[in-house]
Amino acid sequence: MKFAVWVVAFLMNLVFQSTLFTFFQIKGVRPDLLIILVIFVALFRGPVEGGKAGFLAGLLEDLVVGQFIGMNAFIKMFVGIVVGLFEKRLYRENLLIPTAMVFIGTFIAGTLFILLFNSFGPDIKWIEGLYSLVMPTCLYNTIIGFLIYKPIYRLHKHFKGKRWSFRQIF
Amino acid sequence: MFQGVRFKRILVSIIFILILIVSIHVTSHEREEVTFLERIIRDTISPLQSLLNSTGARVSDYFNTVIHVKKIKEENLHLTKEVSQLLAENNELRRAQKENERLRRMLGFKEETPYQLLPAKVIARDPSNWTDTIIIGVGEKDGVKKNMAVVTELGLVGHIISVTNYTARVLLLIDSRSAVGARLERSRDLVIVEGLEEEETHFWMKPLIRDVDVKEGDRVVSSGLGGIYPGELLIGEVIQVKTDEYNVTKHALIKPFVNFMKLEEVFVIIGPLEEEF
Repeated sequence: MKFAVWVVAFLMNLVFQSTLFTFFQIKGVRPDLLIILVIFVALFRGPVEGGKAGFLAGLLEDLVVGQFIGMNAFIKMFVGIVVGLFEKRLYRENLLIPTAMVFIGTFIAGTLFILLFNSFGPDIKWIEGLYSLVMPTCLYNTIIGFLIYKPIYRLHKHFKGKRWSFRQIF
Repeated sequence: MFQGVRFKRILVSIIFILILIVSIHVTSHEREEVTFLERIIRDTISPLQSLLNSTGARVSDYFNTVIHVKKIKEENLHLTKEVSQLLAENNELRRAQKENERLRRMLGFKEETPYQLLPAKVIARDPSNWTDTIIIGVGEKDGVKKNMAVVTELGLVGHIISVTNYTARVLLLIDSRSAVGARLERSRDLVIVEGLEEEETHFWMKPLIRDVDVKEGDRVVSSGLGGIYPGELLIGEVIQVKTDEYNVTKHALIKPFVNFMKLEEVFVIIGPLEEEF
């Protein structure tokens, strides 16, 4: 049941990302809503939960895209784990920290993406990729993350008491 | 024991990552078949996607409008200006076209008619309500004399009642003081056509003989017997025949061919063409 909730949540974000946000591209770039969500889950629940959420979100994205299945799963899982490692060390009430984590997490994901893409697919030039894809996505994500952190944090606190935990899913 | 667990974890992780790498590699090229899982996910979200896509298009359209409202405003202003400019131009062209058509008609008339015609512009209308006269821009210097007939290509207009050096006053047929000897074109019966005091857009036809043969639709032309107007000039058309109370004489209401309210250019008949030779 809980697993289904997560799947639905991630799928909804995927749908939004592939529809509504194509109309709100900035410099040809859409925000990566899923990675924002994964980063927040990791910040709230640590590396294991973050990693699992990242894997699930990435896998769903891969399945929708239908190419390089496993790439986004791996990248998002990696970001979820790395960000999750800071769970205990960061003060979550401060809006600046999660916002910064969104920036850093998105940047790691983008860099990994270029790396993996260059290994498995056609070459992407590093400077070009970083300048025209990764950085704009980072900025866009940071803005969106800044805007949605508070409501998501409230949701998290709300469900935490009800043991809405990722641990029960896997 | 602890080491075993640790080793197991590392092994699982490595296998996991290997599986991912293999998966990425396998799916990095175009595939013939879509897996069952992909099929389910894509088919599940596709209706939502199409719904949100159309919503997104509308929302983005709205936002685009809002964002570009200044530009749209400027464009609107610019276009409004252009439209009014074009309208003015269009009007001018239409006016020119109308004038062209009218002048052509008049030219045609001038070439067909057996009279020597002097074209004249209407420069003023009668300021009083009691008389129907116009002032035309030709006068004695042009050879215009009192009692000359004035026509347009459509028919008889009136005759000159006074002349100055450069202008002439024309008494229109619709003036109640005006009367002209006329003929019914079909029956050749002689009648008199007068202006109507109460209705300035029509003539009143009085018969000169007892059993005048008049029907609705008959055309009335000048008789040429009055001394002022040459014969066979179109005057108007009978639109209503009325019999007097003793059922003896027939009168008729005549609609003129000339629109007296819109006279712009007329001709003065200076004389028959033969006189030139």
